[in-house]
Amino acid sequence: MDTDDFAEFVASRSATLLRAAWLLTGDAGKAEDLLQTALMATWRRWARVAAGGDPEPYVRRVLFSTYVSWWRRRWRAEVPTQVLPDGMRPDDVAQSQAERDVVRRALNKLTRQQRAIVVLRYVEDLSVAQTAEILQTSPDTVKVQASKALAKLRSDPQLRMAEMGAMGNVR
Amino acid sequence: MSDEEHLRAILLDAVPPLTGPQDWSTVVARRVRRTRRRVALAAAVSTVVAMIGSSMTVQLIGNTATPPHRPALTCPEVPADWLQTVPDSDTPGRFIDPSGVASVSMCLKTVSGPPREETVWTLDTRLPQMLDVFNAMPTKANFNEQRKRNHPDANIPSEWMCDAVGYFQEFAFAVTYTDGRVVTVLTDRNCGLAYLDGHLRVMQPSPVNTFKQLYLGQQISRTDPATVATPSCPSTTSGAGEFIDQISAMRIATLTSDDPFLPTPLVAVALCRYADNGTGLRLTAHYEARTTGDPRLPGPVDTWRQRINAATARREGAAGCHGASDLANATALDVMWAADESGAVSAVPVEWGPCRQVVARNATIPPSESLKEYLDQVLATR
Repeated sequence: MDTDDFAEFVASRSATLLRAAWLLTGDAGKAEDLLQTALMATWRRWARVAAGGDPEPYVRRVLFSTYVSWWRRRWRAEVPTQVLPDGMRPDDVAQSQAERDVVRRALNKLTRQQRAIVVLRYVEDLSVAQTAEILQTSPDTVKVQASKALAKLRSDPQLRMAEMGAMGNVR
Repeated sequence: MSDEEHLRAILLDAVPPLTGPQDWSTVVARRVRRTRRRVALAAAVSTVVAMIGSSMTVQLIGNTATPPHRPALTCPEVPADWLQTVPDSDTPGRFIDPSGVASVSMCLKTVSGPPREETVWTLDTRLPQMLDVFNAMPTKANFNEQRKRNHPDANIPSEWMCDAVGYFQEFAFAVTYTDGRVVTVLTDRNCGLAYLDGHLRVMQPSPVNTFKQLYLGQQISRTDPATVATPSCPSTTSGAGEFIDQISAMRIATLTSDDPFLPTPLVAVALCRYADNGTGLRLTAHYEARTTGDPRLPGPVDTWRQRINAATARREGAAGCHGASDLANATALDVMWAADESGAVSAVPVEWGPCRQVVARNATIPPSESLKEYLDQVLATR
């Protein structure tokens, strides 16, 4: 097993993958857990994964399928943990935190599959076919669920307000 | 800008600065090795359990649960009188270098008294939150200044005061870096101080409590509730000394408040009723319940969690009949077992005869009539 290749891969891609993991989980700790789990699975099959060319699709598939499947119940049950002492967050950070919470709450209203589809389609910019392959579902399901997810996000009044604040206009 | 581009911008704007480990591959390799050790350990435990057969320890139905709080490394040595040997003054600057930390382990070390079980727990996610708390600890001088500002009328002594509490065990932290370095943070609960390399800091915020919360979050997120086994009732029991309390490790206790006995949602409960018919305490009835979905939703398991918490809540001036946790003479005994969503298991014995007492956290509490009614309802018909 070429550990140097693995190290190089995670060094170059971990930031992007961690961002996707955060959008799926809405929590930095859970995002780390999810990405570590995906990388563990990749590490175990690295020789085969690396031999196939670009390992990123494999990691991405593990990341999203893990999120959609067996992490379902346990994450719903986790509680927020440490609240850091007062005075550690300046106002601008608090504002960002508030806006982040709005997005996180809006994403929480989606089903797990819808959330994964939103991240894959609209953040990772994958096609319907690529999204369907990663989530091991049909392209029709991706289209239908993406449409439902967008409808839910559009109807979220807080998200619309956050968007106004962020972009200075109303759609 | 199209709808989709708008959405992409909103989502990307929402992602906070994420500071995962600097060396992911090292962290992943360590976790792979720990998983392998745990699998090997679970196999060994299964073999031993199979050889022992039915024993006095709790028996688990279904899959073997992941060991919830399993030692992963050897703890550093902690001298009993370390606080007397370090400089009382503090070196300015941050407490700990947060760059390149791969994991933080918290060790429970025996520093005096008889030998006791020592445990180590390892956190390898949520590290920025943990390290922030280490570095938020003030010096004694800064802590006192802050107290004076917040409580100008209070009589705050100029000397640092320690509680007169003798602890047999203390917590120490082993912070491991990706290059293999390990540094040790010593703590003294009696004086509420932590020390590392010339820095002596006040543990407010508390790294111990923070670690417990973060570790619990890590364990819960790594535990699939479906793999948490339902406790079952041993056919006999001899009383004292066999009632485990794994959940206690992550409970947060201070001098002024206590977590509930069961702070985390439960996956399963088992209620066991024993009576002595002249040949020792034997199982006469039992009841098991398990969540089928989200452990936080109302249901029989959550109801029993509330009942157990009510039964084990400390009450000023109230004590059970023995005044100690000796159940060896019990003739009628119920045992309430609980398995939480991190996979930890705890048991609470309730003696009904000849004395009446709930035993929890080395304390005895008089049981309520309502607890007896609830237990009778589910156990009398079985």
